[in-house]
Amino acid sequence: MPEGYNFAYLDEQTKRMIRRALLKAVAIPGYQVPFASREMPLPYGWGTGGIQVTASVIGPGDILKVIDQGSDDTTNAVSIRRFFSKTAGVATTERTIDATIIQTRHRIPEHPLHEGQILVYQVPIPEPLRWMEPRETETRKMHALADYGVMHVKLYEDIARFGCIATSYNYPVLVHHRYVMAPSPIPKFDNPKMDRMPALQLFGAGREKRIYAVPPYTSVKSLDFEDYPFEIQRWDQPCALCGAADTYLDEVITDDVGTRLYVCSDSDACQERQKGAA
Amino acid sequence: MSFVPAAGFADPVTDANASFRAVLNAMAHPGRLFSITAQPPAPPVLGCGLGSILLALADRDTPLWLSETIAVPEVAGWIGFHTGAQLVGDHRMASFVLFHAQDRLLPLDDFSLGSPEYPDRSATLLIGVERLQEGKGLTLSGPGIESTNRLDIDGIGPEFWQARANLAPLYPLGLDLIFCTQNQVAALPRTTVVEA
Amino acid sequence: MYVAVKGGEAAIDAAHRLLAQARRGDESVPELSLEQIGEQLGLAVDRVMAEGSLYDKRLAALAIKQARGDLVEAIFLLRAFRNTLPRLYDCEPIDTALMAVRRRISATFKDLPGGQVLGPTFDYTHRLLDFALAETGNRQEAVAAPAHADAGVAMPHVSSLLGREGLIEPEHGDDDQFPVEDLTREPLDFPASRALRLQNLARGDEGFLLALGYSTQRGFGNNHPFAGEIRIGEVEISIVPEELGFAVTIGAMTVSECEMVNQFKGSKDIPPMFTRGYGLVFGESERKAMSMALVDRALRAEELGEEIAAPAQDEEFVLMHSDNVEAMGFVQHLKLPHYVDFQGELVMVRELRAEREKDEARGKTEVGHA
Repeated sequence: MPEGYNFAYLDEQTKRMIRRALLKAVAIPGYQVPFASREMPLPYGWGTGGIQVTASVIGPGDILKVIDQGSDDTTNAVSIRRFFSKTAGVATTERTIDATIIQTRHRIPEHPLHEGQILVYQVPIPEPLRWMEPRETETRKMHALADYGVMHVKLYEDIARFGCIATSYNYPVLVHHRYVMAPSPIPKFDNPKMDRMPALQLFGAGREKRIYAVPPYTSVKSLDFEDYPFEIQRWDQPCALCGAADTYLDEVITDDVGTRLYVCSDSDACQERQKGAA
Repeated sequence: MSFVPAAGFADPVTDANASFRAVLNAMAHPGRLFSITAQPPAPPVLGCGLGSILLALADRDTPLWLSETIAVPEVAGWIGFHTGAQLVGDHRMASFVLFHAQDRLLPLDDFSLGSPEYPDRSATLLIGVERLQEGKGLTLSGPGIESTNRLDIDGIGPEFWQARANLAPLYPLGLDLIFCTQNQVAALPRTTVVEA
Repeated sequence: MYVAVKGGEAAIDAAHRLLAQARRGDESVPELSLEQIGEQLGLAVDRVMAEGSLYDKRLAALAIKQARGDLVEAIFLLRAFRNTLPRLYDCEPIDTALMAVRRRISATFKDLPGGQVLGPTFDYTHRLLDFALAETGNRQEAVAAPAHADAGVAMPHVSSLLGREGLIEPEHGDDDQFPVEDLTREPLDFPASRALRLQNLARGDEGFLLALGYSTQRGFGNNHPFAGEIRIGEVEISIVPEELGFAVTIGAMTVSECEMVNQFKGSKDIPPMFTRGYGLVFGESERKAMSMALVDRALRAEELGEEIAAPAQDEEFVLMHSDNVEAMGFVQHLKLPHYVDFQGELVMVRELRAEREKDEARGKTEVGHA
């Protein structure tokens, strides 16, 4: 651990403040709890909210996995994993099933999470209504009144214009029948995994200073209309590496005439499947 | 007369984390029991369970209200020395409210329930009990519970559950409850539906 | 056979080595010392201290060196360090009327008690590159410190002179009644108190405040300002330790202060009088203090019953976007991988286009049959 810094970098007073916010977040699923986010030694936008949540939750016995875009080897995932190995000395893993805490940017692992695991999301804009109403003073009132008219109007306008709800990531959800919540910019492909997930889901937005949560086994419904039901992305070919046909795929361009192939975004799930096939 | 306060956590960083994780687990799985392994030598009137949770969560930013039986100088001294939390006489101002199951109960809607814009600015009740037992007693459902959980809480009577049920229509406003014995904790967030 | 890209760890290590090399540059050129940065790039150090919210010249100089002269990056370094420091005491409010003034000017009165002191200003320099400075070994003629007849005596603020006639609004000193909130310990909440707004502006980005202040002068929230007074100098910092019960001076710091005097026509209940806009910044940072005073006054629109029509008057707009550490992070995070979300968009745009082509084809066939 670097000299002069506390376990997991944050001082104990800051951790207590964040821990109290986390408990209220779990008690009010989908509600954004304001918290006195600190400046971290990584820039805002790099996952400072998720890092503060993880730093407040993590203990010496935890096993941490960090993914960015589904992969453990993305530069920012590497950097955050190193931050915690250095400041907390905790064990790390790339295997989804072995991790007690998984910090993620933009994905939910393909392998179903189990009870007792904690999934920490890095969130850039926690407010699902922000694109329709830039003012916090207004959106806070809308949440207070459960007045989500602007959101429905937005979705309806999409249908009128494009014939479908043209939102492919950060697709809004309704949590425990009460709060509309931003699932962070995960692809809508991952939305169904949030519903009644056995693991605890925690969300941290550092720059916007908000924490929110979804407890295990909690209803998370993607907003839609009866005649335009929610749908996830599909590809017409499987992963080029492991052959999976039911995972989220990254498109890779392999030459300068635009030849492309598709590979799993979740590197751990892909490797596990390749090992199983071998 | 002055007291030399008893010690706090043996390892402030690791113990606070362990105690917090027990409470977080309890809040995420309403009605399930979790062990409080970090046991500070808190004054017996307070108990090690409540003491451990307080050390993990309370500080200068959290006004505390103690019931009459808990608010003895030995406890006030210990809490003040280890957490710096301010003890308030007006229970409506408290972010943490401490009492034992057998204490005289104040009306629940008198505590801070939060506001429609900020339902998180509500009190958390820390309630010391003799015994908690899973698998019998109240039937619980709601977020954090796969189908139903059962929990028996010693010494909490039906009038308490009625008063709590009366708050349900105010959701998302509400109170979050943490019950603990010397070494176990269970929680009922405001979302948990309780049936006798 | 395609092999998934690997090597994030090795790439990061290599990038760090390259950065260290680029920071040092040509090793035949002597390395900068913190003393050189502190003495010769003092205004850069002051800006980093002000927006980094930490008054420590040596650490600010270190941050500038480490950041290769990128001041916003240096501000970020200082903020992240500040965050780990324990709070030992709250100091007593500083009294700028007791400032050991190095510069003091008023644009509203030709002469006033204490006089006008130009001090070390760029104001009347001709901006001609001084090629003599390109050579090292320059020696400067020593300037005798101006002898103040009334050194150590309070130099009253222009606003207090106006206040005697009741021509300017009184300043509300409400600090004694309730503790002043701390922007760095509590999340910002709207409407924000003036104390919180001033804290936000004091650590806000100089360029952002300059542009906003400028916009008020061009009609986007005009508030008819006069630079009532600008003063730069040293103030004493004191604390009242609990065990002593009286104030003890623990040091001094340089601050720049600007009080704008603004026209106000009055309202049904208030007679015509001047109003105030206030700026206070660590170190020598006159431009920032002036900009801050303009924006502070603009943000008082609601309190003074003025229409809120311009960006500089919009509290949420100003306070949520003034912090350059927040802004630089979110703008620059766009360079982090977004493959997953972009893939989602690709799938959607292709689907929408396919639907459209199908519709168009159908349209053509129908026309053909008709």
